[in-house]
Amino acid sequence: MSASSPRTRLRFGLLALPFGAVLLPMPFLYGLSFRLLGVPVALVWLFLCLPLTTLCLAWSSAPLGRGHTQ
Amino acid sequence: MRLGGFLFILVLALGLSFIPVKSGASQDPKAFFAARGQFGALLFFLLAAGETYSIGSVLGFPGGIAATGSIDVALWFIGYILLAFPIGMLLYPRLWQVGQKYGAITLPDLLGGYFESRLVASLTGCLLVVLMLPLGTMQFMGLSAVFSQLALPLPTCVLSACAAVLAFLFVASAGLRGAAWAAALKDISVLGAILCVALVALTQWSHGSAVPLADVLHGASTTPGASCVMILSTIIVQALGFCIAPQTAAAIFSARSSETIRRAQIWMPLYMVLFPLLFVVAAYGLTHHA
Repeated sequence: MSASSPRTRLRFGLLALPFGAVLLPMPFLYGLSFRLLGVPVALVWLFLCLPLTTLCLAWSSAPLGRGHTQ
Repeated sequence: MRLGGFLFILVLALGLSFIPVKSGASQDPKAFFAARGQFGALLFFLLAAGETYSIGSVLGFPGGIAATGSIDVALWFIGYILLAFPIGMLLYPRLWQVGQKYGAITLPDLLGGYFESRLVASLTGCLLVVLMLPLGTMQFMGLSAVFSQLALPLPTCVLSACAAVLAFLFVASAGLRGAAWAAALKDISVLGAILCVALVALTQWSHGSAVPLADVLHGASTTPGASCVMILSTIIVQALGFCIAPQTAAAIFSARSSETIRRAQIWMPLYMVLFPLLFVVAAYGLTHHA
């Protein structure tokens, strides 16, 4: 699998997604006064990123599971 | 009652460490340090989770929120652990493959093999021991807090010394396989305890003198720009450092294959469901302290 193949790009993109989801909205969400059940929205968003990261890791490893040998 | 439960878990952990291995109970270095590289996804997951979520996470996270009344600690704490997993997804299988190439069973072995230098291996080993000292200190601070709740008629330093001797004997006799089984017991106990405490906190929320969470849990600080820079930089630096922390990297060589590591790594973020539960406990402490 070459470094620039679509499969590799997709895999790296999926692994980079949690970084984007956590880091990019943080400056905006941190300053918001909106709360959900008293919990600041930045923290609620971070909790939502937990299953999102698992999905990204699962999808990123799926292409490697087919026809990939050690 | 508390002491009885504490001793029961302790004895159970020691009993689990003596579960015999499948093929001959060999205690050569590869069996001792890396369980002969036989761990499947489940055991590797339990071991890695055991190394990741220590007493510092379980006590430090809610304690930090309750002590500061700020979400800053929660944001960087969850953020850096979460982002360490995508990095580990790339890094750990590569480290495992390089480790196979050089027959490494520890991180010093790997670096020594790669640079073909025993000096590099020795220096790395010494460095890792030094880097473990702050982590070890934190574990003993957490243990001291636990001992204080047991109210035993002995000074905390004596109890800590006993714990250190017991931990050494446990590791020296059981190796990594024993640590994995103890980690499984710890995971079940910790998740069960946190789930129970969080559920009790939720069901009892309306009782007592609760103050609104928004009044005691602060959002953005008075200097949001500086706080945000601190949170983001801490997440990035800690996520990178977390992946090569000695206790985390130690488990890599016990995996059966690099694919085993990937499969286990997928589920690691879901284990973090304990953090919302710990947040509930911290929020209860903040709103019901009067």
